[in-house]
Amino acid sequence: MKREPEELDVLRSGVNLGLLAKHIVDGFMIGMHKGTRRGIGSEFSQYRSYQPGDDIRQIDWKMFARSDRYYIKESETESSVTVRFFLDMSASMKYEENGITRFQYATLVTAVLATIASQQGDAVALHLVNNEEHRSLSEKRGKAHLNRFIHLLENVNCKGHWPESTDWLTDNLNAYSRELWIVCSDLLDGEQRWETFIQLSKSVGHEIQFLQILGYDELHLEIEEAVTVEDPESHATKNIRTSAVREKYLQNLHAYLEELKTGLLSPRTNLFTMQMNQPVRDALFEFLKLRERL
Amino acid sequence: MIFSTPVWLWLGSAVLIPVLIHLWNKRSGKPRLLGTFRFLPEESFASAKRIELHEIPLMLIRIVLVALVILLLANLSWKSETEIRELVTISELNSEKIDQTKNENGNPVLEFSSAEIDAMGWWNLLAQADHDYHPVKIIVKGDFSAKRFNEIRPEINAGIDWQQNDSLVISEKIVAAWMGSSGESKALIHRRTDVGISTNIETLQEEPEQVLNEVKLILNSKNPEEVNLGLSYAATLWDIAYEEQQISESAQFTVGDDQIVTLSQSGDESGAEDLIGANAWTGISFQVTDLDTGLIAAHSILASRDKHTPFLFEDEDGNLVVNGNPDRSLKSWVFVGVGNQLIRSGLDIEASLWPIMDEVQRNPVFASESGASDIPEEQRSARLWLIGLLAALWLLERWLAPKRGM
Repeated sequence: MKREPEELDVLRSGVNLGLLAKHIVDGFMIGMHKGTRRGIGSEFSQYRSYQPGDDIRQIDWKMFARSDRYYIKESETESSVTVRFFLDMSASMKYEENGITRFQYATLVTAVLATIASQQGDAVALHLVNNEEHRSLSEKRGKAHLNRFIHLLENVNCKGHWPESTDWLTDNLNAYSRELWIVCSDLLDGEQRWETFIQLSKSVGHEIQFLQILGYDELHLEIEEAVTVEDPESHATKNIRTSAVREKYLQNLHAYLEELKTGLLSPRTNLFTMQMNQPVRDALFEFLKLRERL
Repeated sequence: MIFSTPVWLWLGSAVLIPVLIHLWNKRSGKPRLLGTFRFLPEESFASAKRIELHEIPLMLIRIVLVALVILLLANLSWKSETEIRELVTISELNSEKIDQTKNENGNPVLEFSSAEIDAMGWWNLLAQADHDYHPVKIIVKGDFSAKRFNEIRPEINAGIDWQQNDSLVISEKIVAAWMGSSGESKALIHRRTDVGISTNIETLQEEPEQVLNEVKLILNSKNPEEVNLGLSYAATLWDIAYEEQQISESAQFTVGDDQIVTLSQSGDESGAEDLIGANAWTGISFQVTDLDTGLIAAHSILASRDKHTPFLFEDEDGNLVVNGNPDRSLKSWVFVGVGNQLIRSGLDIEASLWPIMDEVQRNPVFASESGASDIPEEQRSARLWLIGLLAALWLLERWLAPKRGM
């Protein structure tokens, strides 16, 4: 059944994206991963004896006072994660359902996740990508950066398709820090278009989370019977009888989605599909719960 | 099929509306963006410029719906089941075995015995056939003697073709023939016409087989003027020779050598009763009644007081009747009637053979030529059928339309 997501109403009404994202985030403050700032939330792991070369600042002096021996207090590796968002800016993101576009939905998802990450002290980076244009915001922490991040999400004109090459990305690659890539797209451009991107992501060894955003109507084709549909990217049109084409269409679509899932299958790659009729809050809650288990 | 309010048929062009709607449906509407466009099967492609085949049933249903509404407005009705026959034949048969439902090339042939026709009269039979079959033409075969035309002619829309039944009566019959005043052969002829029998006095072109009677009327010159005027007028009608002489009788009527009719003069000049006295053998019966102004045309009127009141006429038995005592101006007409009767009895012509026809019979109207369209047809409205069909089709349309998305 189609459901009218209530926050999408708010999104439609044009409220500030950052506020809405914050509002949603306040609803569930569940960390995506453990705290990342050094000294905060660090947990004791073990003591080991001092060995030459160790930083003397790490010596536990209280232990030395008790035992007259040098011990190094080890804690869990405190990580600093960069969350890098890739937002598809291709024409297919213009797909509209219930009055909001796929891109609007994707921006809300991105904004919410970025807000969460930022609140946890992670650096966030943003790439708005299509084959003609690449807007990016490099990774940084802090509230001001988050505001810039959200500002960049606004006033975007979706056109073209996802780029076939990954040249635009190579400059931004940083294999030395730990990164989480979150890709918000419909992933409908065809598996081959994503191939290079996926290969690249695998090669750098970062964890990639694909968030596939699909419309309810796209998944079920429960639209009016006689309709002219247009491909947002090629602008080709077709007159269809939904009842006549539904079966074949769903077959094709599911075959593709299955293929895509297989193509993405790797230990550090995940795919999560969101339906546009689902409220962003619910979809993300489900998503984050799933991630917790990983 | 008949349309009571055919003006609505102008709306017939409205049947194009569904076609236009279907075409419009194809052309209008902003295309819907579908990101998953490429997963649509190739065969779903259809040109936007033509109506697809599988839409046609729905379109036809809608056209029929519109047409039904128009037919309903135009008040479609059917004629009654009585077929219009081109031809109906009514035939007189003497045979006892009568098949009343005979057909000749699909046209009904109605057969009646002579007794039935005598009892009912031709006009009743014709009216019945006209009502039952609405034919364009009725062929009547039989004997058309006057006694079978006693009724007033009814309204008959069909044309009537009178065909003499040869075995019964010839189409033309010379009832009597005599030598005319100027020596030529005169005859009283019965002739069949469209409206029955006409009786005329005509000059014969050929010598008749029968021996001609020399007929002559001798008037007494002493007779009052109106007596001689009337009698001579009757002689002129029949074209017999007459002359005035000083004779003992009032009038002598001679046929051949026989002086068979005499009128004795009793001396009273005013009354016809006196003129045709008890002693006189005239062969006619003569009666003067009290004046009856309410009298409507009797059998055969020879003279009228005015347009409506008959003055001199024959009753059904052939007796001469005078309605009220004649004044001077009408007295001569009494003697026209007397002379007429005398001549007929002298020529041995039965009174009943004189078919004087009613006004309607004299002026036949053939509706088949003039007013066939005025026939009030028995009509059966198709309204119920149309409404039923409309409802059924509408339900079908409502069921089909969402499936076709139109």
